[in-house]
Amino acid sequence: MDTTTHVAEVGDLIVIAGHRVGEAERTAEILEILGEVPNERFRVRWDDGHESVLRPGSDATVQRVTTRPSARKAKR
Amino acid sequence: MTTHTASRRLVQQLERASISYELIDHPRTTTAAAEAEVLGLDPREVAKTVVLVTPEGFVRAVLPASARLDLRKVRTHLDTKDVQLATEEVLAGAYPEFELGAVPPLTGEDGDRVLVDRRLRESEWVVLEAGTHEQSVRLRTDDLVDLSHGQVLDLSQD
Repeated sequence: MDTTTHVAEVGDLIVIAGHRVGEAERTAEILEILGEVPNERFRVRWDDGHESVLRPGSDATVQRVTTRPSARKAKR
Repeated sequence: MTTHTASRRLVQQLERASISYELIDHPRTTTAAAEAEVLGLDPREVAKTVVLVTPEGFVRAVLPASARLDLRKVRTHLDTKDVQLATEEVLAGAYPEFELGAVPPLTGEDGDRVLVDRRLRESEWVVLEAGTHEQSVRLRTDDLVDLSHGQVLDLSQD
C-alpha cells in the first residue's frame, strides 16, 4: 500500500486516526466523490461493510491501495 | 444517499464549523436503542436527545441510548424543581423542522441550553439522529460538546 497522501480518488482509502490512547483508526474505501475540493464529501464503505457519506477532517489521510508512479501530491 | 430536509440544517452547521462527520442512512427507527441495533452499534455510542421544558426555556439533554434520564439530577443541576419532559405537542410546535422525537442536540439557532451526559464522553465517537428517524450522523463526542456549548454532567440514572 502506498501510504503517502494524495488527492482522493475512487478506490482510495480514507484513514481517520484515533484521538485517544487505545482508540483504533477507522478506515473506509471511497466509492464516490461528492462535491469539489476543498468541500468534497465522499460516499464510502467502512471496514464493517456499512456505507455512509463522510466529510473527513484534518485528522484523515488518503491512502492509495496500489502504488501509481504518477500519483499526485496530496491536498490533505 | 441524499440529505433529508430535516438533516440539512445539521449538516450545514457541521460544515460551517469544519467538523468531520459521517451521515448514515438506515431503516426507520423511533428509538435510539433501535437505531443502535439497526446500525450494529453499542447503545453506549448512540445518543438520544431529550427535550425538557424549564423556566429558562427548552433544554436539550443528551445521553446514551442505553441510559435513562434522571430528572432529579437535572433539577439539581438546573437548580429548579420546575423541569418537565416536553410533550409531543410541544415538540411539534417548537421544532417543526425535525421529525417528532428526532430533535438533535445541535442546530442551536434557538439557543437551547444543552446538557451532555458524562457517560457519552467515554466514547470518542457518538451517533445521533439527524433530525429524521431515517438518518444518523456520527461525529466526535468532543465536537458535539464544543459545537453545542454543552455542559458535561451526570444526567443518567445510576
